[in-house]
Amino acid sequence: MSPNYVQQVMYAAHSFLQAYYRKGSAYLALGKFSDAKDAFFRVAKARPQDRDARSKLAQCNKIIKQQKFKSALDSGNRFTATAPSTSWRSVDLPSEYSGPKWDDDEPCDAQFMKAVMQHFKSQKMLPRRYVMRLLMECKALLRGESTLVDAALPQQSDEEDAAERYFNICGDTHGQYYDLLHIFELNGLPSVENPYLFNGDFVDRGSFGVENVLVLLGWKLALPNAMHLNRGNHETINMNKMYGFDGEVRHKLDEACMGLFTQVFQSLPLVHVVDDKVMVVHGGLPSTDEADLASIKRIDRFKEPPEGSLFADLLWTDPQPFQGRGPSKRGQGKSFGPDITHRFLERNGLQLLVRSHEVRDDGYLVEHDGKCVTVFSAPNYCDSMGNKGGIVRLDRNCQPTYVQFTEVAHPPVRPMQYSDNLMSLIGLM
Amino acid sequence: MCTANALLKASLKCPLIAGNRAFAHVKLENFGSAIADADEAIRLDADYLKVRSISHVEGFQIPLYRCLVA
Repeated sequence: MSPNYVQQVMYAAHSFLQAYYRKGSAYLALGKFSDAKDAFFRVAKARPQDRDARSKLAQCNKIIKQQKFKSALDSGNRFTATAPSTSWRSVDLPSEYSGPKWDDDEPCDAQFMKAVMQHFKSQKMLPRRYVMRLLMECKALLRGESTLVDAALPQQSDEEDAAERYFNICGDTHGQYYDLLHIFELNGLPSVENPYLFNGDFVDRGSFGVENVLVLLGWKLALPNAMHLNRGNHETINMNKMYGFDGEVRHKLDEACMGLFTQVFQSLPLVHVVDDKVMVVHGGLPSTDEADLASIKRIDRFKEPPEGSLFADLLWTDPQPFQGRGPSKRGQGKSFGPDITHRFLERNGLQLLVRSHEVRDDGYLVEHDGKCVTVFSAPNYCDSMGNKGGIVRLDRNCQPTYVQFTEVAHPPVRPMQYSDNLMSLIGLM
Repeated sequence: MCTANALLKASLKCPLIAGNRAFAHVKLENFGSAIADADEAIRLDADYLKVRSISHVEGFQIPLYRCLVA
């Protein structure tokens, strides 16, 4: 028996277990804890001395136990329509607070939002009273919107050589609040003449998610018809836990506010159709041919997206360069090819699909013969990708033009500062 | 391009390469692809071990593969 032979067998055994270990890490990141447990169990059993595998196995068991306990307490994560037990009115303004004032009988207006943006810029937080009021009012407003919102282009000016007015679509901003301010500096503040649509993923990763999402929600309250928001895959409980928003809210505010944020996220619309021509959604097209705009309208969206549903597809899918549908690199839904995009647009009488969800070097990318545009608005994503940010502007004929921008400096709080320790366990931060 | 694709396809018949690509996919947060590559590495290694580890090696009277999946 050659020693070479023994060695080869040992290598194969090692590689075999290593593959299980990697599979376990991937399932862990996807939040599929019992699949992850099975994989780590295999490794830990064959290599009892492997402390890393043992600790991951223990972590999985702990989470599964917690989940069982929690689901016994509340069946499902659907929130009840009743108002939270404490109203914002019962939360006092701290006496030393000297930031922007929001009187009880005043609505949230553009003036107030400009002051809030400055306040946040100097790294000050709003008092809990204002945050809770803003979130509660936003929830009520968003719940009144349809799952699929029809948005209008801005009215063009009557004056002759007036500048063209655009409908602006921004992609993921991911808690990069200082880059959001930069977008408004470059491209103008939201107004009836300059409407915006932010296409999901306002929070997580970047460590200024609270500021970022509060400013967007505040503008939504101030200008309901000139500020549009779509839900992204990061406006969900599980993603917020893993990728930092949950920790950030607990650090900057408190747990009750996190509950309110979740309720607001569960109220966000999923799709906007601009001028009956351009469909805007965070992820992409459904994984089946049967789904159309009518079935999207019928989605019950006031909950977490169920796995494998049309709801989840809209938040999670990606385009692919090959025809037809293919397996998703993320392990959620299916990727859609150029023929799928063409067919979906044609059947629903649309011209163009605009989606976000994936980082693009130039901030945007036109694919599928010009029918599918990806826009991503977090420049130098996670302080490390070196990409540009992008904005899609639709003119009066719904034709897209593109704006690019680079990142600006932010205070020295690194991305993923508040993320779950699971992420460091997998080695993703 | 064709040669590169063919090479890539062939190299993925090697469990070590499939397994390493699974690792890269985890780092890129392509968890679906990571699971697919890991499964491929597991399948290839298992095939190899099933044939190779039966008996003859001294100290491995019990087939190694059966130990690993027990």
